[in-house]
Amino acid sequence: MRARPIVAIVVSVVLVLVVLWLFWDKLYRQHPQPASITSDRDAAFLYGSIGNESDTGLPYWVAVVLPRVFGERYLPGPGGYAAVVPWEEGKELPIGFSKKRVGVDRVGFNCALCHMPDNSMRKTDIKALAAFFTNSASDARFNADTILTEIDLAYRLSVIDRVLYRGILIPASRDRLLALGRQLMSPHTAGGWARSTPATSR
Amino acid sequence: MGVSSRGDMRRNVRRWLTWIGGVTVVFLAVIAVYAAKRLTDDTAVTYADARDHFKYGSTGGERGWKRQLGFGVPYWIWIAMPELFPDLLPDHKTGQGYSSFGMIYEDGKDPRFDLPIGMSMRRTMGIDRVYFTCSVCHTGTYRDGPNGARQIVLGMPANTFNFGRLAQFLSGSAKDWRFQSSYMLPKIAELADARSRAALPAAPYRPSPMGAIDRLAFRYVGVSLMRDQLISLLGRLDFIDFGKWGPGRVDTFDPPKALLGFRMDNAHAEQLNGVADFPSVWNQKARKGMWLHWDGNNCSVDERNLSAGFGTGATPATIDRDAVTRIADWLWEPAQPPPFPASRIRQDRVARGEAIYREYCQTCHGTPKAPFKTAGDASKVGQVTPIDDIKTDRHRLDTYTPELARAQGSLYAGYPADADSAECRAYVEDVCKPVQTDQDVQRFRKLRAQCYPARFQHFRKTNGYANMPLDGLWLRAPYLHNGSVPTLRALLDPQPMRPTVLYIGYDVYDFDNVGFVTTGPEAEQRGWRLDTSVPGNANGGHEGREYGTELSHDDKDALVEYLKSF
Repeated sequence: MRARPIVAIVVSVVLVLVVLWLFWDKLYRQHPQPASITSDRDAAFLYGSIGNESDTGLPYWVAVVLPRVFGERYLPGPGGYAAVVPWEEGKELPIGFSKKRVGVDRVGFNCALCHMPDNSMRKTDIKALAAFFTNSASDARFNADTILTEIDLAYRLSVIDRVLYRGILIPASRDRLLALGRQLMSPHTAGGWARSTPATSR
Repeated sequence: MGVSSRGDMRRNVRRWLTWIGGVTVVFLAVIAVYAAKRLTDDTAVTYADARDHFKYGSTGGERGWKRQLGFGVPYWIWIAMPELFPDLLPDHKTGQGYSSFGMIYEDGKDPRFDLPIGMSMRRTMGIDRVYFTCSVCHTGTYRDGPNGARQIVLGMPANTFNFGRLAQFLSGSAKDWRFQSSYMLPKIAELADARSRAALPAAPYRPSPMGAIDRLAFRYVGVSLMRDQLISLLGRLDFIDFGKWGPGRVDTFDPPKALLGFRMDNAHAEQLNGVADFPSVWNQKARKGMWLHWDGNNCSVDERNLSAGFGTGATPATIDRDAVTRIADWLWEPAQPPPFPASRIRQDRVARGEAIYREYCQTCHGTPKAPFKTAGDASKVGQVTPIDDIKTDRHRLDTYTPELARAQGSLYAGYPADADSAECRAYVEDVCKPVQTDQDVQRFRKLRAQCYPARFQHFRKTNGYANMPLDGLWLRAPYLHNGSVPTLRALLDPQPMRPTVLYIGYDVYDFDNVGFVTTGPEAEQRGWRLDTSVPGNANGGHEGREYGTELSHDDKDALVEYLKSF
């Protein structure tokens, strides 16, 4: 009889711990990038994480489907991200986009987004990319229903990921995208882009 | 007395409430079980024979995933549409199913109720739904003469099938005011009645008749949902001019732009007109490691299959992996083109033709039979010839943009789950390597079993057209990637001598010139007018001394005799 409160306390503590662990596992736990990126100097520059996935990182599937949902309206021409960002054939993301699992897969942006090692490729049209992020996030269709519907055409999210995307990740992405739009327009020094226009042609 | 009767009343009320509550709970439980059973229903019609599986097997495109309802058209709506909208059919005739689009109904099938080759069926959400499968674009027919028997050839380009016209029909029907349950359901009831009276041959699986609940579901949701699905699918493809396709042809790489959300309103006109012939799909084993698609934009047979599979509605979330692999395995080697009728080859000229082929053609097109090359023969088969050399119509090349090649790298993202494992990295390497030995095949199959489907990693932008192997060449007319040259004999003439107007989609065969008959009253009546002056249809290129167009008349004839044997 006396043991009961203790059992109840133990059970609740365990439950709380499980929930906390789940939160940590699905939202904060850091997984290293694959060796194909980290152990190759070129790949590390182009696709390596500089540690901003948890900070400004977009959930991976939001980043993937964003141009499929809003590219038609807010990108300057046909091509999805390829219309504004250099992208190597066969790669899953454009240059300067880093994919890293922080809880779930997330996409961050690294130095290569603006600084290409050579001039052979299309240069990032930072203004267009920033406008794309800002406009998409400001669109009334930016909601869990629209985004999940598009993700369902591309991938089978697990039950837990689905709940996280609907409840937390997609709503939070809106703020992330708006912040990204602002940050991309003011790199290093405030007003930097106001004076120098990035190249937009190939 | 009063107190006691009040107590009785209370007891009665309680008893009644208990009953009502109990019945409600049981009723809701029954509904829940029924709904759960229906909503999780997912049974494809399957076939024991690989050929039947190729003809009618499902790739998974009918079913949906979560918020995606899937592409499958309910069987009953599919068969009701041509009956309900005959004015939108090419020949305005009811009772023919979809034959007027050049879809093939096998002998003994009733086009009113049966499915043509290239349509598969799957029961999902409690409804039998149908959609395209691979054979819709890769099965064709030929006949000896206007009265000759129709020969159906699996794996051959669908020379009679006008996919663009069918898209127009589906789109037109969905936008038609009669596409609503009060018109659709009586027509379905009428067809169901006729179907139950028709003496249909026994088949392994029949769509189930509509029950009372189905009728309710269709009345209040099903028909409008279907309309919604068709309008949103075809709405995304709105920038494509389906009227330019004609039979046997498809604009391959504009639909993926829609899938990827490309902004098309300001796309250059030359990027919007990539109409190309359906290809044959035999001998895929020998094609492993070659550059595939007309412009040679991918070296992976697997990626090429998955990419084409989008056209059958199979998305990364819905694809029926085993069913698709089974089709791929049949196309790997068992599927072979039928030989040209031997009696129609003038054997006395073949030797001369063979010598000419070796001198002029073999370097690019390889040897007649799989594997089309031998080690160290410096063969350029499966490689890309630059557009400035080949000089054929460049629209198909230009429609495949560098941006598309890149954006395709995000298709099948997330697959396989262990993409960074040593095995799956090995699979990505191996998928583009030619097969030399049986061990190669076994190693590849093992990797594929673990790592397929995988994210697209081999699409690239090229600057020309690929040198195709020529297996089953005689059934791959009309020639060049856009089907602008009717026969092999015409292809050996320089451009000014090639026909400028051809009626394609007519399946009577011209055994002398090697190709389909494209002129004459019946071809004009049954075929589709291809005008080579229309952008995208140009019939020039593949000409000059090294392409054999300056050979003597006799040499050209001899070469054609030899090419018949491919």
